[in-house]
Amino acid sequence: MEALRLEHVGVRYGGVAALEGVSLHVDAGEILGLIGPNGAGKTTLVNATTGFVPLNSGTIVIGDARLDGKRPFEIARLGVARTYQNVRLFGALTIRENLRAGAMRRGDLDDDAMRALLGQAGLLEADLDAAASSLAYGDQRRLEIARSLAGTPQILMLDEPAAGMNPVETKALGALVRAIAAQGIGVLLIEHDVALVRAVSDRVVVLNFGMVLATGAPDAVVRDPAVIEAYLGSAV
Amino acid sequence: MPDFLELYTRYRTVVDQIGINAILALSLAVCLRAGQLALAQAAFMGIGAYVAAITVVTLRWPLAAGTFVAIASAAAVGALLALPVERLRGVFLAIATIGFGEIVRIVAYNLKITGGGDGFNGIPPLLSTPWIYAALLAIGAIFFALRGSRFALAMQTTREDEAASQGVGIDTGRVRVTTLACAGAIAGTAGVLYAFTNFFLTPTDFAFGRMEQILVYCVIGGVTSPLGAVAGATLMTILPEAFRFLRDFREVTNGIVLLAVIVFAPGGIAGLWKR
Ligand SMILES: Nc1ncnc2c1ncn2[C@@H]1O[C@H](COP(=O)(O)OP(=O)(O)OP(=O)(O)O)[C@@H](O)[C@H]1O
Ligand SMILES: [Mg+2]
Repeated sequence: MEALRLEHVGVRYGGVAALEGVSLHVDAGEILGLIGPNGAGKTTLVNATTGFVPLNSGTIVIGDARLDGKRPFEIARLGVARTYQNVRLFGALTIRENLRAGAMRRGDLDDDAMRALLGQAGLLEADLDAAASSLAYGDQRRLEIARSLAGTPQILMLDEPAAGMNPVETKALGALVRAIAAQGIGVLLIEHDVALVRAVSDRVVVLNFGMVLATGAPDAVVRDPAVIEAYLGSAV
Repeated sequence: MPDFLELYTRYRTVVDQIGINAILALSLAVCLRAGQLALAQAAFMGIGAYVAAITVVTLRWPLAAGTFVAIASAAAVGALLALPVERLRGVFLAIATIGFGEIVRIVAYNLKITGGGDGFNGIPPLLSTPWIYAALLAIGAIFFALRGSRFALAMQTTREDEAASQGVGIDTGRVRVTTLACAGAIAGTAGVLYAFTNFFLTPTDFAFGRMEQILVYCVIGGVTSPLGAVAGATLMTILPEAFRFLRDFREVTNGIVLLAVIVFAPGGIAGLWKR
């Protein structure tokens, strides 16, 4: 499994610098928590890595392969999978079709493999032939994770996967993220739920105004005065 | 049997039209399946018809060779058309492809080899009803065989969400090019069949009026369903014949059926049998 590496990444939307000189890396089997206030640039970082927005400066590599300048489907084929802050399933298609689409980069999936993926994601009872849009919101989020795992990625980027989940579901999600990393997949976890980030992350990076504000062990980072300041003393 | 034969002789042109229109509807259904509102099927049909007529009649090629080149030309034009419209979606794609159809019509009108506005005359009836339905069956069989394939899935995800399709590694640009090439090949096949069953061709045979009818077949059939498209083409080809007694008003039936489907059964014929 390969590591993901961002070096001095800059992204601008018109005049607005959404990311500036951001460097970070995610190792195989590691969970990197990415936190920061609203508008800090967390989603932009995922979009830049997966080719959805172009870089203004910097480089992104996975193993020996350059990602910057490549199109999203090429980056996905190199093993970078993602979920979306607003769920983006193929809603009118079935759960089976969503999982098959997720596996597209490496071949096809049989029903047993699909069942295993759904079981891992906590969707054991789901009917493979049900429309993805018929699932409850939290289950749609879980299916989106299962879809991204179907392609056996090297790196998985999760954009606020616990949004809209209750504490019990959030706890199960934390266990799922741990299990994914235990398979050797490097996970970048964006979350507003700082307790979850603390509980599962190996390291944490804090973004603020598009720049890295702090990086280090979860407990140390959330005690960093600059981080507390950025959050205005709240939440952390 | 004599009754059947008599019926066939009497309604032969309608029977042929149904088959050809069903193939045209399938050509559009392919595009709609991939979420591409590309309305160039009438133009693809025209390219297939003229290339077949020119190669076989003017150049005296064997029918098989002319047919092959005609279908390949329509497919190639479809693939090439996908490039300039790469960034267009929805209504904008529809307008651009209708514009392309107009270009094809005007070119056919002004060229010498197509017979211009006078039409291309004297095409021998080298094909007939069995060929039309053999082609329809063959195309249907290909649809059936590809139904659960990864390519068919990629078309559907492209329709659902292009960005998310790319996110799982699907080259949606290639899906669009391939889709339009397939649409070109299918409509080109309809063009060849039309040419060798209709004696002569004029540019208006492939103009916007034809395109509009093809769109109606698909809307009535249920937009993305291939079987629905065939059913829609059949129904909408028979209806104006059945209402011949209305004379000039019989085309009104098309409009009424279209309105009724959109209002009462937005899923079209395919939606009705799924219910
Ligand atoms: N498509 C876009 N066009 C213009 N500006 C954008 C676009 N997307 C994001 N931005 C701006 O870039 C900055 C970073 O946004 P981004 O969505 O990456 O933040 P975020 O950290 O994910 O926030 P949140 O926690 O609210 O999801 C914000 O100022 C945002 O307004
Ligand atoms: Mg965000």
